[in-house]
This record gives sequence, structure tokens and C-alpha cells, in this order.
Amino acid sequence: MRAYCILALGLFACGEEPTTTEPDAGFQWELEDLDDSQGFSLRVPQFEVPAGLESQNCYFVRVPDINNGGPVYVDRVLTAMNPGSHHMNVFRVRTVSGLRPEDGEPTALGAYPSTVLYGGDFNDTMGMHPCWNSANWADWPLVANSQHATEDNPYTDWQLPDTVAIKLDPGEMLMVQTHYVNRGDQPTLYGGKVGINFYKYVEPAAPQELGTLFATQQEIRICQSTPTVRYSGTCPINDPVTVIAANGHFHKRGRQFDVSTWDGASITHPPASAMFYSSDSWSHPEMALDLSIPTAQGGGVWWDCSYEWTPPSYLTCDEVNAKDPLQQGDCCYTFGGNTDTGEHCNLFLYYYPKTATDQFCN
Amino acid sequence: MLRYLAIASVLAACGTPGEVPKDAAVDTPPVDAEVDAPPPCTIGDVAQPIELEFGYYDGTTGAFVPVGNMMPVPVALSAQGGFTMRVGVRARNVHCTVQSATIALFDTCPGDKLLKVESRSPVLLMEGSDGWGTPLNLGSYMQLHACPYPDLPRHMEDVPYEIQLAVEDSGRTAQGSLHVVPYCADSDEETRLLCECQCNKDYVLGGACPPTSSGEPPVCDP
Repeated sequence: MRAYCILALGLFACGEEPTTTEPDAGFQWELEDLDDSQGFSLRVPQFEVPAGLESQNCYFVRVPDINNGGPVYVDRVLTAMNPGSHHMNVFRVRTVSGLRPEDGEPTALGAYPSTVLYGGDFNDTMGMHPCWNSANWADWPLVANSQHATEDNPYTDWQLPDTVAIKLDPGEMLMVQTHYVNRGDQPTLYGGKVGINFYKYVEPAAPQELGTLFATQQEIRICQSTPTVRYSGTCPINDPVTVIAANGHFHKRGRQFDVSTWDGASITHPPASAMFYSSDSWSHPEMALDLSIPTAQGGGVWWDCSYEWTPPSYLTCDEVNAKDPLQQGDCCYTFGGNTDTGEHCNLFLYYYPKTATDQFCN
Repeated sequence: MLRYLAIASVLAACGTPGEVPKDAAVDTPPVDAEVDAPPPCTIGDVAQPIELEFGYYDGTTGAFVPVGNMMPVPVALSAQGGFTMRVGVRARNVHCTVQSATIALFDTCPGDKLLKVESRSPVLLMEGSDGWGTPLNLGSYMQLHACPYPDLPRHMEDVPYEIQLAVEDSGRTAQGSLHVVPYCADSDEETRLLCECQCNKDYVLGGACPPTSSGEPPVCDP
């Protein structure tokens, strides 16, 4: 398998597109199927990602009642994904506008009925498919995410600290969003496939509820004439909390993604000693899972996304220009899901205890 | 119109910054740099203190709209949700490529609570006929998150908040401040109502609109 992969990467360098093999050919991950006493398991059915394209799907599923009508507390999230995954995010569905669960095709995520909206490749709709242009996220609280999937290790095993748990309500609608890339740095050789196990918290003591923060810079522009740019901002949490996990997310022009604690009083960049997350990888950004970072009363986090302009790898500046809302004609990468024509600056952050509300921050 | 003269620390000699930034407004030709390097693009006289003004991006015209003290600033819906003020600075006596700009949002009523900081590096300015440099495009504005905002003591709408702005240009810095009044400006009623809901002090992420009121916000004259 490894030899095949190395050979394949060599071909990509020569300009060849990766291909998709038969489903599961030569690669399998395994997750145990949980019973109600253990938690619940979601299984995204395998799907093909055509060579040279990207795929984004939005699956809607309700939290099963596995606690006699009471809240389901989860203290471990174990994901497994076929390589080629760009991201997998789980959000709670709240205000619906555009991205509507009822518009999806019926399917099942393992034992649970679901609907799915297939967003296809970004360029099929210039990103206007609701699964790509998710207008609702300001009030869809983040639950969990994973961006890690390699042949050597397709798993992300996130064990929350003792007595900390995600609170889910039975019947609550979740959205599982998958994004696969099948070219260049992120070949999808075995088809798209995702599994998530939510393990039930079983300690006798009442857990502290996990809080989440999803932050996104939506006005980014990385242009050919100004190739080096940095976008920075703060996000408040206000009450003192302990950050336990963080994950940055950008695309091919991303060079450095940093997150620091912010004291809530300074308008200058925090000192280097305050930085607790740093990543220079766009295709496999490490998720920091074992943090224990206290934030200050009235504070939060400061995050930086630094970019270096490079030409598109597979598409063209004409296609980059076509999606520039300002039509500047400067091959400006703007906010968008396609990794070759768009850019992101997204932060996934997890902390406890949950404050009055989960957080969304532009 | 308030104008904010720089509280500048002029560290560089006139017109000779230590490192010439990439010119924002002039294409650099492939010539011998020692002989034919173009002068750095400047707006005004960089030997003079930096002058700053605050303003916002007009989504319809793409123009910079200068804002004075206690004047309204629109809060606009972002592509994937959340409401922001798209704000920036215009300046004189700076290079066209300003090293960085920072804008901070404070609630001074009561107290002096810093809510949000946004920073860009670099910021590209284009000189207008009035001699001021305005942001070249949306990338040189700041997306100042306004709503939803956790644990707000007051609504983020129709009441004044303080803005502080700062720029750094080739070793020189300048700051200014003023109060502005954010308002939900979208002409689409559904979007405007969502804005009013998410800018309400009692809004909880993912919660109902309109939110359940916890009482009247404190009246305050900043």
C-alpha cells in the first residue's frame, strides 16, 4: 500500500491526476459499533470523490435517545476517516436558512436515519450550493471536528478531561459536514468514508459541560500583487475557562496559523509566551488535543492567519478571479471552500466549563 | 469631521525608511534596483505626523465612507453568518503600503471594556484627489465582529461604542479614537430582524429570536 502511495505521489508531481480505486481496495479503518450503554456511532456511507475534484456533503442526523429521555453526555469522540479528508465538522443545527435538512436525500448514518445534501465540487455551483455556502453557521454551535486522516493513522481519538463532557439532547439535530479533496497534496485513493463514535460519559459525578468556539475570518484576500498578508483578530470568551483543544484551518496559501491567549485588555499582539497553538500545515493541521490553557476573566483568544500567495495548483487565476466578489483581476484568493481557488482562516476551539453560550466569532 | 492627528513616534528619517515596502500603487519594473529603483509610494509628506480618519466600507459603491464622532456605522451580514462592521482607516503622510492597522471596539458605558480587536498587515492605501489615502480594496478593511457577542451588557445596536484605531508605518505609529453607533442596516427585512436579534444583549447562540428579555439595558451617556 505504501509503495503504491509513493508511486502515486510521484505521478502527481509529473502532472498526473490521482485516481480513485475501488471502494475499500487496500485500505480499511475499523471502529467498534457502540451499543446504547456505550454511546452512539455514526457511519457516513462510502462515496466516490472523482479525480481532480473536491466533494463536500452535509448530513443531518438526530441525537438518539440512549439515556431514557435525558441528556446524552459524551466524554470521548473517536473519528476515523479515509485519507483525502480535508475536514469533518459536526455542528448543532439551529436557525435554518438555505441549508435545510428536509431538502436532503434520505440516507442513514449507521443505525440512524439521516438526510444528505451533496454539495459536489465547489466549481459546479461556484460555491453557491447550500452545503458549500453555509449561511447559518453564526448560530450553529460547533460540536467536534477532525482534519486528520492518513494511511498510517486515520484516527483522531479525543478523550476529554475527567468530568468534562459534551452535552447533547436526544432528538437534537446535528449536521456532519465532510469535505474531501482528490488531487495533489490530498489524494482520495480509497473513496470518502467517515466514522464517528460518541462515547457516553459514565462517571457518577455530574460532568462539567464543554463549550466550543468557532471563529472565521470571512473577508480575507490574498492577492498576487501583495503576496504576504496576515489577518489577526480576537475572540472573547469572557468568563475564565480552560482551553483543552484547538485546531486551525486554512488552505494552500496558508503558512502559519497561531492562537494565543488574550487578556481582554490589550490591543497589541500577545507576547510569544501566550501562544498555545501553531500550525504550518494546510493539508494535515495538527489538532491539539491535550491542552490545559487557562484564560483570563474578560479575556479570550487572539488568532493569526498568515499567507503567502502562490498560483493555483490545478485551476487557473481566471477561475480564482471569477469568484472574486470585487473582480479585482489580481488572482485574489477570497473566502471560499475550494482549496485551490479559495481560502479560509477558521479556528475550532474547545474549553470548559461552558459559559452562558457557545461562541461564534468573525 | 473629526480628524485624528497622530500621536506619532517618528523613528525614521524623512522619506528614508529602513526598508522600502512593496509599492501598492505602482508596478515595479524589472530594472537594476541600485540605479532605477522607484521612490516609495507615499501619500502626503511622510516627514509629517500621520493623520488618521475612521470610516467604513460601503458595500454598494465600494467606497470608503468617513465617519465622525457619534455617527452611525452599518452592521452587515457575513457570507457564512455573523454580523460585522467593515471598517478601516484613511490616512495622510504615510506610505501607500502601511505596515499594519488595528481597530478595537470598546464598550465604555459603563466602564471601559475591550470587546474586539482586528488587525491587518499590510494595509494598502490609494491616494484620492483630496490627498488622503483610502483602503485599496476590501482586503485592507477590518471585519470587526459585532454580533452575536457573548454576555453583552447592552445591545450592540443603536447605542454608542468606542472605536480605537492605530497604524504602524515604517516605524512610526499613530492612534485615534471616537464613538460610533452600530446599526442593523440590511434592506432585507429578514436579515435585518436577524441582525437585531443577534445584536440583542440577551441573545444566546443558537437560541430563539427574539430572545427572552432579561430587562432593560442600563442607560448610559458615554
